[in-house]
Amino acid sequence: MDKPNSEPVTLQPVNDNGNVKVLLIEDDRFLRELIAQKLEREKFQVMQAVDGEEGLRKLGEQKPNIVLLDLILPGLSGFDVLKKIKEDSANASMPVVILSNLGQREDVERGLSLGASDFLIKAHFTPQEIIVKIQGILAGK
Amino acid sequence: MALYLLSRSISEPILDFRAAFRELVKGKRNVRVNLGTKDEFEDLAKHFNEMAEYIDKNREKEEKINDLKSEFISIAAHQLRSPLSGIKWTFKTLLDGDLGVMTTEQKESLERAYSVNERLISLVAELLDVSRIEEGKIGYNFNGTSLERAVEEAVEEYKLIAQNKNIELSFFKPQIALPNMPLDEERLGLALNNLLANATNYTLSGGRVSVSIERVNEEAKVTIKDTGVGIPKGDMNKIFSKFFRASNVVRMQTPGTGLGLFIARNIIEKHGGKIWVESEENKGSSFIFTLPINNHKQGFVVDDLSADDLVGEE
Ligand SMILES: Nc1ncnc2c1ncn2[C@@H]1O[C@H](COP(=O)(O)OP(=O)(O)OP(=O)(O)O)[C@@H](O)[C@H]1O
Ligand SMILES: [Mg+2]
Repeated sequence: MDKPNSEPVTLQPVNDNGNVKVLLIEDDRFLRELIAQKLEREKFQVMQAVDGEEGLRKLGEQKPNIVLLDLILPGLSGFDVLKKIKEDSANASMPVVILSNLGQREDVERGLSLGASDFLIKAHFTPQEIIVKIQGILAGK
Repeated sequence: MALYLLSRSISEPILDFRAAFRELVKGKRNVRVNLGTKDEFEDLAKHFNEMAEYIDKNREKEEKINDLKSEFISIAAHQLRSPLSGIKWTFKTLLDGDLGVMTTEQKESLERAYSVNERLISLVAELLDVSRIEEGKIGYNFNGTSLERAVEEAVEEYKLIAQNKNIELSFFKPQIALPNMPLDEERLGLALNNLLANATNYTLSGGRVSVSIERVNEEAKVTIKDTGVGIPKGDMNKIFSKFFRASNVVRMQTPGTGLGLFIARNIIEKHGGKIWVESEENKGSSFIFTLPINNHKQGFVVDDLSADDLVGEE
């Protein structure tokens, strides 16, 4: 959670979200669209993936600045996806925020030990609060 | 001499039976009596063994049902979180005015719906906690922590809530600082939170809540005292059970599920402590818990309690 961000810090004013690419890996269409809309309204560039395979593919092609990752996904689980992202030196420093329905201590600890920047339980955060988290992480906090 | 032999051949099987019954009552599996005496006792042993087998089978069935029950709750709760998040996010989007400006009235009614939905979300979190407690799957992480600071932080979180309800909330430290104690800070925080939520919920405007810590021999004692609605005499021994809410607070139509104290008690007991209540209806309540200053537990401990233990010893 308090892992220092090893990416070169390109400090941007907080409202300049336009250069930030967010990859959203979430299988629930309703939730995915709600978050995507909010992000787009805040001028982020949003990419969406419905499962881990698609997520990893888009990640390789489009190099997002940050990933929002669900854990319970069809096929590859979110934990698997996270492991794969962190194993690949090309994007090991890319911040990944877990956004999940799980949230028991073991899940949180597992996620963080695999290198997630933060672990958010969906129902406990509003879209706005999620965006504030993203901005905080990108600002290197 | 002959008499002695006779009495021994009677008393020995009886002692065997007594031991077997004891084990059976304690909940042991596969308790069987094998005498080989070829008399009435052996016959009795056969019946005993049939009975024990029957009890074993029923216990297994009960355990399976219990496992299924908590598994069901856990799956259901996770399934509930997605739609609840969807509702929350939609309401919030509307309330933020992202989809256009709303009238004050529209906003107010949406805010009510939002807060009901929040209530559901915290119910799901509580249900998950309870099902984990019952599955005995909760791991505890005891680390040297300042109890004082943990309590103070919890009180701090309720300052604003108390202020808004016009309740005076005060905190008294022990005269001599306590040493650090092996506590699971997060879990203890949850227990304190539940107790403070109750004290502020069930105390009317103008009332007082005070939290104090003192040392009593080798224990720390925390008291959360309020001048609230109190607990009816007949309900005092039920409030720590799951889903129980006393008649007076149900009548007041305060929201609540009856899980807060069940969870709090479980957490305190896992720390080797005790929790109890002293209360008088319409006067107020004191929730008191003690924690051993030198907990024998250290580091990470996996909870091995089964559901049966939670029903209460004896
Ligand atoms: N400080 C208090 N003053 C008066 N009654 C209390 C107090 N604390 C608990 N009670 C009684 O004990 C009951 C059980 O409390 P508990 O915290 O377990 O559940 P709850 O507050 O009803 O719901 P929740 O699960 O949301 O906490 C309450 O419903 C209330 O009747
Ligand atoms: Mg409560």
